[in-house]
Amino acid sequence: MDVFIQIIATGATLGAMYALASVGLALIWGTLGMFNMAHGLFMTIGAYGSYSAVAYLGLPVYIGLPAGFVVGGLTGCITHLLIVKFMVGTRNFGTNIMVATAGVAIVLEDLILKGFGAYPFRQPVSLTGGFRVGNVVVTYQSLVIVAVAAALIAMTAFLLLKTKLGRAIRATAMNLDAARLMGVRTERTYLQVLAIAGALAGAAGVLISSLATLSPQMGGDPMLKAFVICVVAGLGHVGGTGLAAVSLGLIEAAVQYFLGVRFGFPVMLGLVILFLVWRPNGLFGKKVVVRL
Amino acid sequence: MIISPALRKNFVIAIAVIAGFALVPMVVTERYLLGEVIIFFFWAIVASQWNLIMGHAGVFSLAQMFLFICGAYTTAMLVQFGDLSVWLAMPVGAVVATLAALIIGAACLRLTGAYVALLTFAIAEVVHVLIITDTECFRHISNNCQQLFGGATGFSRFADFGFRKILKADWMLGNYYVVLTVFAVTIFATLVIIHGRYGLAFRAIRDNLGYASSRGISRFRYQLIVFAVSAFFTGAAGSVYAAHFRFAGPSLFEFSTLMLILSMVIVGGLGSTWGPFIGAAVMMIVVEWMKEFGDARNIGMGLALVLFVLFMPGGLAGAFKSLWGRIFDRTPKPAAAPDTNV
Amino acid sequence: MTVLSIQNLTAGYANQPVLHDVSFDVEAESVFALIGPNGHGKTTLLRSLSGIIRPRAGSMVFDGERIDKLSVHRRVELGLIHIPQGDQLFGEMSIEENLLMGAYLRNDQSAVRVSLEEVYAFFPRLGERRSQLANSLSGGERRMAGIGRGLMADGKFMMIDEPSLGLAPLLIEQIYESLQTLSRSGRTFLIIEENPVRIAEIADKLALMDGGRIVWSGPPEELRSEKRLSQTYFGGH
Repeated sequence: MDVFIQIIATGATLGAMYALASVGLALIWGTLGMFNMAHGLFMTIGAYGSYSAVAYLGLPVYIGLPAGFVVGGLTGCITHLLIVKFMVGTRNFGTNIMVATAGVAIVLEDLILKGFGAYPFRQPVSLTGGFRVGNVVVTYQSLVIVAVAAALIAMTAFLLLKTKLGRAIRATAMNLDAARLMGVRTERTYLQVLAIAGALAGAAGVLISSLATLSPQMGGDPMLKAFVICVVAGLGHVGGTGLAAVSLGLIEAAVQYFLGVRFGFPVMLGLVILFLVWRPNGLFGKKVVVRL
Repeated sequence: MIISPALRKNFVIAIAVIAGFALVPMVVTERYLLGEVIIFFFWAIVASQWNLIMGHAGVFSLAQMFLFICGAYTTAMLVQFGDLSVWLAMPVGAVVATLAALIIGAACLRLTGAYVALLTFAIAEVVHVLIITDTECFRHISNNCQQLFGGATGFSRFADFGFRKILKADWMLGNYYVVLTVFAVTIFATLVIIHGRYGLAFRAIRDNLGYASSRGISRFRYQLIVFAVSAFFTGAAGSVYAAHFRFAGPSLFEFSTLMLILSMVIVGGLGSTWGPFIGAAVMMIVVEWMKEFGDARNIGMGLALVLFVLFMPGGLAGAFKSLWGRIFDRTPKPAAAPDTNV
Repeated sequence: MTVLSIQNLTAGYANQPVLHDVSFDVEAESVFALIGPNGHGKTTLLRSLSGIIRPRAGSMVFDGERIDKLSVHRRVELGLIHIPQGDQLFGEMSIEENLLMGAYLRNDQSAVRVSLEEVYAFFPRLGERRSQLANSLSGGERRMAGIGRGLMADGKFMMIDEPSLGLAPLLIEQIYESLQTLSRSGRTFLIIEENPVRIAEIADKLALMDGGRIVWSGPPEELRSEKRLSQTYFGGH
């Protein structure tokens, strides 16, 4: 029974972080058909943003999370205005934008390394302590992570499904020309999507760093997991991404418990590859029909 | 085999290039510079093979360095644990890389585009993490624990080509010509693929997948074959790399190394014939130059990637081609985009 | 009064002009029909008018304002509504969301509600299925949703690309009855059709396109006696 509770507690925390890390990635893919290789850096920057706000600017701890959110969002905006904007709709956009965002990632990582050093900082925006369920200690920080991730994802879902802005984003994703004919300024929609995705990634970065530490490479691992989650869900399917994230978090927690921490992700990836051989378009993705 | 005029022209260029490099040691005697040219050979091979699979076969694989590592690790492990001569270990390394590519390809190549990129990247990363977190000793070597896959430090100081005994102070020359040989073979094989039957098939697939399939060209099969061939040469380069440096370690997995090779492909010109070779040379010079600005190597690479994709998506090869065309007014008319009817 | 005036319009894709030097005027509150076989530039003309593609040369004046350089959304704001070929609905959205997208640029929510009810009253089928996904609709329902979405913009100028495309005769009849009713609603219509027969019954003026040029235009009464009609369709010269 304790084992079960332990796996659920760890798995839910992992799943919540992964979901927050993946949703933005899926949103960008779904709307722009762009795979953002800098997504991990958006997380890193969010984490350092919240760290700086508290440690350097002396802002209260509860400002930390919104600070990461805002810094992540701004990074998304800047990426759009400096790069994506000029490439959308050009030839080989899908490949070229991956290359460009990979370039952005390595530049940003180096800038953080030069600005803050390689020393792993502790994230001040976190809680200590916990409570017991049976013989298992559940930390308050895990609860905060699950709650914050759930709240942000619910807000994103509400925004996408119930607001005019969200409708415009979905319309642009489904049919670009038709959205323009409705009067949607799709240029601006793209900017909004990158801002939202960046903000979610920034918040994810704050949460992830609260469990581990801050380092310039901290975004790499969650981004890798976000990749796999997006692939399982079928690229671009935002709702499916959340579900896939939580499931994979639980699977990873179980594998970690029974086989050791090292094998959590490898086993998960192995399962994913087997799964993709069976369903090449992911859980929710649609088969792309090539018209002859 | 029918040799097309394009293939013949490129063969002539290749022979000139290789002959040029064969003469380099007559002029360059400094061991450091010769070493740099050898590194250029390694990266040019990997970049050209990546270009083959990404620019020509249309597979956006991020496992290129992983295949290189397969070759390097196999060679290192066979020499270290099996006491095998590097000359025997190197071909095995190339074959292991080929097998790895066949397995990865069989699992990933039925997918397309970004999926392939993500999975190949994830596979390489998972292997990386498994290797560096391995602490179980496989064998003790002079009181040092040596993990089966080298753990966090990798393999080093194993037996090399053996030129130090034969050529004494000129051992570097021996290494140079071994690497040049692999480089030369790779160039010829790559040219045959790009300008032969396979290149034709890929152009057909790119222009009209439906028509190509109806003529019996299976995208999956062709991509898998070329993926395996490119893995063979990449793995061979990795094997020779391990033998030359007497080193194979997890530092080869670093993201920045992958990005360095990618920047060579992009700067040189994705989908071109000679671009990756030019790109490899240019990026090595750029990186060397950026080091003087307080180790701005990564920033230089990242900026090169972004700027080239933004302003010169055809790379240097593409720019050179259009400049050539403009001077001699042989600009090919851009193909008309189809009327999409909303 | 002329509401839309096109002068010497030339447009196309890459290096291939599809439209050559096209000029015509559309009278306010009339139905203007562009007919001619497919592949002769009719859709390209609409795409130029709505701003999806940029014409190479010529001018377009709508309601006294040059629109050539305006962005797509500005033209929608002016009331120039393009209902594209094949409906182009947002497949994963409900009918109601599709209709609301049609009113994207309108800010008066209560007026939008009124329009919504009007569309439902006009096409009761849409009202019954308002929460169904657009993907699940039949061809006729899709066409209604496409036209309804266009109506939601409350524009004064509606451009409809092939309202009868791909529909069974009975459904074509239904759609045309709706269009006939709408044509008396004070809006101006520019309708593209491949088949001239049905559209001639509701159009005030027709223009025949062939090879990217307008080869004839006139009132429907003159259409039957026009020799060029059969030449254009059957290629007899």
